Amino acid sequence: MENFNSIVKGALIHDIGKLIQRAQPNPSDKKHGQWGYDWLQESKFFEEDALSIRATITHHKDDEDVFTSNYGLIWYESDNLASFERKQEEDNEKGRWDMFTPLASPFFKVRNPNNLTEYAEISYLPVKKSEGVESVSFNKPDITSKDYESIIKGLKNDLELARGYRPYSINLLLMLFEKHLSNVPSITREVMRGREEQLQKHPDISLFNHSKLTAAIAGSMYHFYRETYPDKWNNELLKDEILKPSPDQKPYLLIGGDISGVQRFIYTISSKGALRSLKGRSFYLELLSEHVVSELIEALQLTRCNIIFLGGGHFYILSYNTKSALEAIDKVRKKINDFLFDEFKGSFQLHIDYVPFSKEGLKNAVPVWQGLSRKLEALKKKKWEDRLFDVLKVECQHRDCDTTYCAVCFREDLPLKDLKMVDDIIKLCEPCYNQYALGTELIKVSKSNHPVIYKLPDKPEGDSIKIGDWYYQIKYGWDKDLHKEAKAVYRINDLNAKHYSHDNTIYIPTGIYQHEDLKELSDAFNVYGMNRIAVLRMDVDNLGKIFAEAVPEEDRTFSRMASISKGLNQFFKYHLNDIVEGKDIDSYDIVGRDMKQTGRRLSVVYSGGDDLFIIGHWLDVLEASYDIKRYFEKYTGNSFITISGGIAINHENYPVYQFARDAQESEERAKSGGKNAIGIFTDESLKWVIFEKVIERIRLFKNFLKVEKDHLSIKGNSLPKTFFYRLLALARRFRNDKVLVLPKAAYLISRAKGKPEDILKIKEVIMTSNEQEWKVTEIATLITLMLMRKGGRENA
Amino acid sequence: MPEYRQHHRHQQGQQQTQQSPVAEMKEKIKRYQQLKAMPAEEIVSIADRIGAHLKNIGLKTTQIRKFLDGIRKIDTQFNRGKSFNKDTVILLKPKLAYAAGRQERTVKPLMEVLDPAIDAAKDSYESFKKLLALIEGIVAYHKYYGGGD
Repeated sequence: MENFNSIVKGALIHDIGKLIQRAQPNPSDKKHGQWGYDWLQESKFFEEDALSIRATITHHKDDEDVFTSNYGLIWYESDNLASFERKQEEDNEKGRWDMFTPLASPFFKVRNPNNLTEYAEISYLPVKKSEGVESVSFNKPDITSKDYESIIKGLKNDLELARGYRPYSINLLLMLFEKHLSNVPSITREVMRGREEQLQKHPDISLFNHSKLTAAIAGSMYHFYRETYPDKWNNELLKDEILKPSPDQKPYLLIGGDISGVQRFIYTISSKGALRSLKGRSFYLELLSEHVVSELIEALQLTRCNIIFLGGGHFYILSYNTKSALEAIDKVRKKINDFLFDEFKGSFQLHIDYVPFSKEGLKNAVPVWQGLSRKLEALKKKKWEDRLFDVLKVECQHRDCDTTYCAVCFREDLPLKDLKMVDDIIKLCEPCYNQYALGTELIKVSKSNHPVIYKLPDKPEGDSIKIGDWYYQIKYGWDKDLHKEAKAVYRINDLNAKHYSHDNTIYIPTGIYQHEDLKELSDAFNVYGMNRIAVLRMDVDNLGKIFAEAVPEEDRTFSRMASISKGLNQFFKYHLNDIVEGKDIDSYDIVGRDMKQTGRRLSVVYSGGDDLFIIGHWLDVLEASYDIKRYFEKYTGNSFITISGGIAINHENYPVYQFARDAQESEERAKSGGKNAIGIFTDESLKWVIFEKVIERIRLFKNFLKVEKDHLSIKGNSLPKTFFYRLLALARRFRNDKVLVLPKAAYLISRAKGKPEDILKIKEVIMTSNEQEWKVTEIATLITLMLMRKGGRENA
Repeated sequence: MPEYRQHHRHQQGQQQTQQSPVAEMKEKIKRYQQLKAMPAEEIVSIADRIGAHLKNIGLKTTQIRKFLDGIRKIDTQFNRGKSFNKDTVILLKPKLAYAAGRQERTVKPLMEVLDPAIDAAKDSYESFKKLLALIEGIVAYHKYYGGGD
């Protein structure tokens, strides 16, 4: 395994020279490989990795050692396979190097899913990652060697900080590459044909994604060739086997995992302790996916480079296709499902399957991914097929449950524990108790802390979560004793190299934002205007189509498809936290409260993959939905990739599962009305452009109102509250009576007093027979009334 | 009354401040045998111009209020068209004439327009509803242009 590590690490750092070269005054003095090799040697950061750093000068056709060792062959071939997009260009045309070409957004290849002849405009990323939420630019940024110098400086600083942790773990390097190289293009060839073609072929794979995939392929190749040719591996050069495998040989596996029953598991809870339970449950699922992935990686003896995607209860792992790999997967699958069955009585299940593929699958990845989704779908239809006997067995009620049941999940077959809430004691089954405790811990986690999750072999003191044979415990910082004992240390949203001293420190981006003062749902109830809670659900439109068809066929390389899913996940897991908080970004503050100071009072229950679930104060949720949409647009830079959502608004003690269902229905309405929309209130679906008008109209109404600490009130005698009630009634009548409401609207306006220009504006938008305008007025008025109401439990 | 209302008249009303639109509107209404055939847009536009005109000649809301209340009462009697009675509609004419007789200068123009409208409203409840909308519209626009009590 010593060699394995060197091969993988080598593949990971093989192109580091590109970064060094681009910062040089005389870049053409050496080839990039040599620049990298020399830098690594001089810096002495990689002293212990003598073999790995040879990858820098052993991965090109004309590097002398490429064809003299199996390492060289693997580095060379995995680099090629990871960059099929580059391959084609090198073969087809002459280009010229332009070291300062920026990276294009990974989304720019996505065509209009509803009209595949329509291409997106090219957009670029700044070469150095920005601090806040990433956004693309449509003007080509100017990049100089100074920018590269500064990136190197950042990387060097971090390596310096972690100097004591040498040899650096692959996990640390992965985190640092993600931090520094995510916007650095892996190639900088300029395409010399016409402008159209230049745009089409513009580099859009980052050095981070390229390096990571190369390492994943190299690791898989190592195992595949060692196992398939055990005798030859140590003694012979496997040149033909590696470089010219027969087309029907399938050395690779794409492993896919999917947890089914998530919806039911998370949301089928009562409103007792809802916020903590929700948070706990949803995070439990994150941990579970993480746990399964790490079990698989370990069983397959691979590295985290091989995790192609992890989020939203799904994961994809690139592996090798050998007998021992298949056995290892089966073993993990069985072990986890046995555990899940015992713990949750079949309420959710983990489906794992895989598709073997040849190197062709790295060039056109879509059939592989599609084949895998089909297999996973089929599995979901055969839930617990092998455990039917257990599923149908009559459960005995536990004697604790003779008179009551778990207050959160309603289970009756487990002993119940007392949970003290503020002024109440409720009875919970053990899994729910633990999830509540986990939720409580998570709520304490804020941006300023660096929460750590330790994976431990023995049950630690205090609350912990057991998955399989392991215990997971959250701490707010380094814990000497746990650190020693831990099998893995998870760092949530933490990119500080200093915190990666454990060999198995793992960076996990997680959508976790929650307002500090939000401990129970009721804390978000009475914040501004009417007392209501809202749930927001959102996801990307046409995602299946985007993956299956929207990227032109010749561009569907593994690398590109992985970059796109990674990009989405990054938005929903990492950037989302800042966006919904609304503090350090240009956020929407509809009525001009102090939201920017305090942050939004809401909680990200779940976010990852391409979807999210948020709960909190209704106005905060409403504003956040629009901010998410706006930032998503800036992030992808591709107007064909749209997002839709649904909002449900109700009382704090409305059951969470009903909230979830209502929001889902709203979202479905938004989707069925042509997508790119938000479903709000009971029967309204608004295109985002109209939603924006609603916000503008509320602002117009606000000119007649006064912003108080917790509601809008009447300003002087300009517009009485009855004005808004009447206007709402008129807007509702407009649906049937159409223009006949105009005289009444005129009458209503005639009673307004206020600044003439404001009244003129109101008149302008109300004295109209335009249906859309009235819809805007209706919703804006409704929201304004909700903002004017202080407390109150009546229906809006 | 705030100044802006003088300066920013609703478009259609503005054109008619100098000249009486009564004759023209009357002709428009007469084109309809049955008022139910008149599009809502046209009702609104007539109401707008007449409302503006009535304000200009100094009609007070109270002068037509009684009449409007009466017609609303009749609507309730008809109970969503179930007990529609055309005689009741025709009898609105003398009521209006009485009001016009007392306030010739201001109410008579209204009567002139409403007369053919009442004639065209007696065929069905749908037509009657349009009549109601027209009268309500006139009152609303009258107020909109600054008409007072």
